[in-house]
Amino acid sequence: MDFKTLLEKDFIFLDGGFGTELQRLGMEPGENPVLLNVKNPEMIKTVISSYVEAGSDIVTANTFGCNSYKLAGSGYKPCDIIPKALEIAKECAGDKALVALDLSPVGKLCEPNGTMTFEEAYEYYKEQIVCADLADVIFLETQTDLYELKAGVLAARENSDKPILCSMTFEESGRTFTGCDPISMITTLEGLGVSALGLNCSRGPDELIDVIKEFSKYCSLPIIVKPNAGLPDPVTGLYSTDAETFAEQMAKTIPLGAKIVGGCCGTKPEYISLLKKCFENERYQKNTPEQISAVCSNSKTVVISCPRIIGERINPTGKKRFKEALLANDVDYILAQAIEQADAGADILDVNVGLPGVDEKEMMVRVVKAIQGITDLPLQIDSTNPEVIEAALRIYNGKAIVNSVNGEEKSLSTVLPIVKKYSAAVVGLALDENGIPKSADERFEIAKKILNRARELGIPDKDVYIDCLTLTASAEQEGVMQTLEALGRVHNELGLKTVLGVSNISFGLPNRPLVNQNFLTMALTYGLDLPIINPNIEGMSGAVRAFKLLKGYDKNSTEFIAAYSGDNSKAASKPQSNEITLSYAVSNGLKIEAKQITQNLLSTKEPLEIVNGELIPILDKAGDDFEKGKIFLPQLILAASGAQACFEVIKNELSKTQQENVSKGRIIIATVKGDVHDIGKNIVKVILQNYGFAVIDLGKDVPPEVVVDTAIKENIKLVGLSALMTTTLGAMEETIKLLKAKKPDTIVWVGGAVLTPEYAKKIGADYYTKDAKESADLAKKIFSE
Amino acid sequence: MNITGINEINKREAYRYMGFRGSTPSDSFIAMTLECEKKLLKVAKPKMVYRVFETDDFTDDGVKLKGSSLFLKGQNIKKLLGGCRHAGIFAATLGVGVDTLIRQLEAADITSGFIADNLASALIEQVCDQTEKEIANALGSVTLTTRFSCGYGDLPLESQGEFLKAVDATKEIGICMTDTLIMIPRKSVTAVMGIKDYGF
Repeated sequence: MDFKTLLEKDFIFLDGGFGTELQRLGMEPGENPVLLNVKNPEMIKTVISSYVEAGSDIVTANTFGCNSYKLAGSGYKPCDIIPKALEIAKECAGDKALVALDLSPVGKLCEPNGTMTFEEAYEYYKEQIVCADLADVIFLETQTDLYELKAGVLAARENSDKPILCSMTFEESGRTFTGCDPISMITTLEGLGVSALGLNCSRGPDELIDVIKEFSKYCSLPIIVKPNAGLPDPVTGLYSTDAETFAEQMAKTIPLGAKIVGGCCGTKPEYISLLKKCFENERYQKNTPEQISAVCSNSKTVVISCPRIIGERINPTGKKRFKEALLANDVDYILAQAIEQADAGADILDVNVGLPGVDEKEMMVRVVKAIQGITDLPLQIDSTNPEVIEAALRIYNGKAIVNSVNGEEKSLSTVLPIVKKYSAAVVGLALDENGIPKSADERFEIAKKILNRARELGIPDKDVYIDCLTLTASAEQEGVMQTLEALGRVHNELGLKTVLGVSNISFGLPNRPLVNQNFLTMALTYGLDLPIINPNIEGMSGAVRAFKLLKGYDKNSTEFIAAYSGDNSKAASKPQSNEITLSYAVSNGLKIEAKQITQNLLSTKEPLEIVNGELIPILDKAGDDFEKGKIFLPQLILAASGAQACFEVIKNELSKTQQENVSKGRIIIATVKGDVHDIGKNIVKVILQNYGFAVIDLGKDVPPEVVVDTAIKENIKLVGLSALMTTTLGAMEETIKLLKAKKPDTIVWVGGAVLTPEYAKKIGADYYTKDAKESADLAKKIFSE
Repeated sequence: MNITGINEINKREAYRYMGFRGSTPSDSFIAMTLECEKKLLKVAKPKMVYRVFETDDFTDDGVKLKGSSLFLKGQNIKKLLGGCRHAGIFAATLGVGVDTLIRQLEAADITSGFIADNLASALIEQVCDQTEKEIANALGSVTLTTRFSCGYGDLPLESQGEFLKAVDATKEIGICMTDTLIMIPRKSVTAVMGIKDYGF
């Protein structure tokens, strides 16, 4: 028997609670259950046999939590226990049931919230999977983080050919602890080669019915339903729902398409036998999921059921300031672009970091990780390099769009397999070896060719989006309608989603916004689904909003009204910059005003004159006031962020006029390995930058080697380290030691809540600073020497 | 379980954390704080989980709890639990949405990030207060001692993992811990309280 054969049955029965059964049999509190495979195999046999007897078709081996993180200190490795656990389960199952390798979450959280990288998560799963030859299926359950689950699925796919079952733990609210909802789980994993998806644990079937309905609505794979026996009592630890009630509640999931059913915490063998009895005379009722085109992040799915805006601003093409930021590894600048577009109404963000002199693959991975840490908008990976695309799709937390493939053989044969492997959506450009065809018909033919190739690889139509390519109206006026006609045909005849970069249309013309906006509206009427635009330009995002309203997508004009009526603070608070001084604006953190005044000053003064004559004195005064206790930390930070806004204007001006932005010195700052409290470090960064230092911010949880390697590579004289926990001071000491050994001329200063000047000295730091002000003073002193 | 009904953050406390030292923030700062508060309350998903244990044994160096592997080490905790037949362990969190929001605000504007971070610290304290009330309500007429957390006095920070395990906090409310004993989501708390007069 195998899983495929089992699927022919109406229902597949899983087992019930494992941990709660072990507790009932007298497992010591605090004991790691997987060690019982070795210490007390009889107890494990009792549990598994009881489920086989109760009628489970698949039983889980006692491997939940058998990863090297949870085994640390036990003296065992996963490969010491897993084969043994599977052997026990096999012995109990005989030919009556299949055995699942049961995989729990690792136990620590993935970045950006936690410190575990995607790659580390992958390794934790891989080490369990490679010693599970005996298993019939791999069951990743009780998962709460889609990112970690994706790592686990990839580890399973790449290291085994066994069927993969995935189930996450959703709360009644319909989300997991890390914010994932069923539609995002389904959108991300459905194409990743898994055999079934669903939910387990959390609450009882009744409480989870709305979550199960979501699976019913979107999931085309067999649905797993494995809830708890209600809630545990905080005093007795006993679960609230009895076997009969549990079975009755579970029966309600049959019309929703439940196929693979069982129980989790608090469900005992009799729950499974009763469940089986209750389902005996029922038939499987396959759900009919909606066929949707969708992309998603961990917590937000964008269904392309009406026009959705792809923000185009994260792209160095034609943007000097952006290029500089890329070359300087200034990810913060890119994040600010992401946030601005999200606030302006983008639904998806295009990410392009290709620039000569930049390692595109490394930068793409860094930027994608950083952006997905601060926004829930799905991303479009914009690169023509297959290696870059693959690296980005692998670590992307959700389902992304690849921009792009085209009709050239080389492109089709390298890009599409990656799209298929990671179950991404893909933009197909209607061009080939011969360039962009003039006529609509020829472009349509290329679109068809791309679609056919995608189909051959098993990429569903819903994931193929076609870009019929905008030419500039000034140069090829007759081409405008050809683009739109091709778009219309792709939309109507192929039924595919369409993409179009819009702004190119007006190149070389005056009043470009007017042309862009009109072309956008025309394209929308021809069936454009995904305009790639600058959402920060009100006319562009506004045109999409208005179109959605007029076309009836925006029901009751809700979205439109929300955008344009009532508390529209953006429009209302037009800066009255002539009434306030730069000093006032900066000191009060009034960024819009501060920017405006700086911009005005630039018409009469040189950028560096403004910096040295205006901004630095304001900052100095804030620093002095802070030192004297006239103002406090919040006001110092406020002034720093106000000044930061002015410096952004200055930097823009400098890059426009090709002037060198001279730094006063280059400094590394980092929050040490194991520590994730980095707000203090970030405040220090802003203040140092304000004083003209070029700061290389290595982020939080930074391994000593990374600090040292960067210091050597970039030849950095001054390094700042922060730590907030006593438990991470060891890592700080280690970093200092390594720096002093490998690059003895480095000056190290440290800061953070748990540090004292004495302790700083003890661990080998050259300086201790108590706050951001002192840090800036120190940097000034060091670089003036 | 979810903690509901907190519609306002104790801003006085948050201003104190920020370092205002009794001085009054400017109107524009207050406006920024209110804006951050609104965003924070929208994404915060306060939750708590608790278990009640019998205090099993008062040894020389601490207190054992029945039905748990948790050993509460130190003289402080012995004193706190003196005369208590039961102890309540709880874990509470604001959820990862708050961490994400703070990161987001920091990237856009460091001041807002700073404000939100301190507001969240004030909010988790309120959630703990509320948690105490919920526990007291659920147990009937009991008296609770003050709450005590790992790292206070001589109760070692190293017990953090055992606290989380005792209430199954990872599974129940999603709190994980790093190798360096930092709880994630960042705004999370575990604590123990003595319970007097329970079950009589």
